[in-house]
Amino acid sequence: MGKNEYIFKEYYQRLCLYAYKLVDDMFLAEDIVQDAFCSFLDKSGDVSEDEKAIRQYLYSSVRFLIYNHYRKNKARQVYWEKTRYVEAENSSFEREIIYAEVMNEVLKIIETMPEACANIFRKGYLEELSNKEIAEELDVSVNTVKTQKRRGMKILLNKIHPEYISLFLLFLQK
Amino acid sequence: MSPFCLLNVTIYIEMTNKPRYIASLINRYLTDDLSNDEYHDLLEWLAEDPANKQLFQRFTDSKHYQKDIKFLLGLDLEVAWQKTKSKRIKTDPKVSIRSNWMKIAVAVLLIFVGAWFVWQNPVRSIQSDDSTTSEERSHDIDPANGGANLVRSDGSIIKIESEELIIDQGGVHLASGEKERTIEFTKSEQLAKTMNTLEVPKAKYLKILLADGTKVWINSMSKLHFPSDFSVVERRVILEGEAFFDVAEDGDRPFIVESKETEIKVLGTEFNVNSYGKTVETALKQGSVLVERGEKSLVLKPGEYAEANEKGIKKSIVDLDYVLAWKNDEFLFHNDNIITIASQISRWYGVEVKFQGEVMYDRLYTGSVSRKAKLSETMDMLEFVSDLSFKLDGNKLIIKKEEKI
Repeated sequence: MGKNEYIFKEYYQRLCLYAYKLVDDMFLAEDIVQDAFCSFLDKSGDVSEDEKAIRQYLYSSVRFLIYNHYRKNKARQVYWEKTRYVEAENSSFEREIIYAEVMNEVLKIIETMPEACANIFRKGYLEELSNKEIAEELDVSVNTVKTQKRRGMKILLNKIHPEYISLFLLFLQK
Repeated sequence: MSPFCLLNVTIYIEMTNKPRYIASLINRYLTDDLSNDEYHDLLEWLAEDPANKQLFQRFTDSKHYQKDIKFLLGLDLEVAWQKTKSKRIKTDPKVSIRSNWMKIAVAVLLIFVGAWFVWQNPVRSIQSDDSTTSEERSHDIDPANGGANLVRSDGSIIKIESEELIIDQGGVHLASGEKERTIEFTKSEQLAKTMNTLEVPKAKYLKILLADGTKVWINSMSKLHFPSDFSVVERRVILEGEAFFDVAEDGDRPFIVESKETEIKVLGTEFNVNSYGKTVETALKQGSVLVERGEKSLVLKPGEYAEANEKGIKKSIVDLDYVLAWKNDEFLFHNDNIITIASQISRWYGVEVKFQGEVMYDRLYTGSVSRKAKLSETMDMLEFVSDLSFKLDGNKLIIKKEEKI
C-alpha cells in the first residue's frame, strides 16, 4: 500500500463522518471527502509530512468544500440554516472534529478485538442465538463458544466505561 | 491560483491541536483510562461551553450515534479509494495543446494542475522566467497514424495505409484513407480458413471490424492473427502486444483471444489485453471473461484485471480509465515512472529512447497528454513537469537530467 493510499484509508472514515454531521447527506459527504483527498493528493508535495499538518489540511479542505457547496447551492442551506452557524464560528466545527475523532477511535478498539471472539460475541448477544446454535453454525464446540463469549465480555469490561458499553456493542452489529 | 491558498492561511492558523486532545480525553474516558489531571482538563472543557456538554452527551444517547455507526460501517474504503483515484484523473481539465511556449505552460499547468507529485521530494517551484523553456526544436515527429502490414497465408505482405479496416469472408476492406479498396481472399483461403496477420508497427495503430461484428483496436507494435473466416464452433484470434476488444455477442461461438499461452474466452463483452511484457494483462470493461493459462483459470467481473504469466494468474481491481487511455487517444500516467512513460512514447512516435547520466527512475508522475500531440509538444510537457531534459537526435529521443542554469 502506497503512502497516499495509507493516508486515505486512515482518514477516510472519520472525515466522512465529519462531513456527514455537517451536511446530513451520506452521498454528498462521501463525495466531498473524495474531492478533499483529490486536492490533498494534488498538493501533497506542499503539505508537510507531519501527521498533524495532514489532518488539519484534510479537515480544513472538507470544511471549505462544504462551505463552497452551500454557497453554490443556496437552495440547500440545510446545515447553515438549521444550526445557524456562522462561518467564523470555529468552535462548532471543532466539536464535530472531536466527535469524528472519538468515533474513529471507538471503531479502532472494536477492530482490535479478535475476529473469532467478535463473531461469537455478536451472535450471542445481538442475534441472541444459544450457545448450541452458535456452535453448530460455526462448527466449533459449545465450550469454545463459552470461552470466546467470556473473552469478549472481558475485553469490553476491562476496556470500557460501563456507561458506554452499549455504544461499543452497536459496533458489533456488522 | 486555487482558493485553497486562502484557506490554508485563514484556517490553518485558527485550528489548533485542541480538538485532537479533547477527543483523546473523551476516548480515554469512554474506555475508563483517564488520569486525574486529564479528568480535570475534560471537566474544564465541558464547563467552557454548554455545546461541549451536548457533544459529550451524544455518546450516551444511542439514538444519536446509531445512525452514525451504520454510516461508518457502510463505508467501503477500497471502493472509495478507487473512486477517488479515478476522480482525480477526470477532473483534470483537458486543454488543447499549442506550440507557443507560454500557451503550453498554461496548458500544462491546467492539465497537470498539481497532478504530478513526488511524495518524497517537495514540488519544485515553477519558474516563470524562460530558463527552462525548450529551445526551438530542430525537427519534429508526428504522432502515430493508422496503418499496418497485412501478412497473408502465402507469406505475401501488403502495406495498408488506413485507420480502419473491415474484414469479412470476402476479404479485407480499407474503410478510410486515400484509397478505398478491398484485398480479396482467394477461394482456397476462404475454404481452408487460413490465418492472416495484421502487423501494426511503431507509430501506427489500427481499428478493425471483424466478420462477426467484433471491433478491435490494435495499439502500436502489436500483431493480430485472424482467420479468413471463423469456424462454426469458436472465434479465435491470436494477439501479440495490446488490443481492446468489443466482442459481438454470439452465444454459440465463444470468442477466444490467445496470447502467450494464455486464453481469454468470452461470449460478448468489452475488454483490453496487453501482452507487451511477459505477463498477459486482461482488463474487463463489460460482461465477463474467462482467463485460462495451463491448468489455471479465473473469471473476471467488470473493473477487474488479471495478470497471467508462468507463475499463474492473479486478479485485482483496475482503473479502467487508465488501462483504456490509449484507446481514447490519451497518454494517461498515474504514478508511473519515466521508463513506463518513455516506452509508451517510443511505441507511439516510433522513436528510440536513450537515457543518459543520472536519471531518477523511481520518481512517479501523474497526468495526461493527448496522443494527437506532436512529439515536441509531448516533450515540452514532460520537460515542464519533470527535472529531465528531452532532446531529439534524428530518431533517438535522449532523456537526461536537466542541467541547472
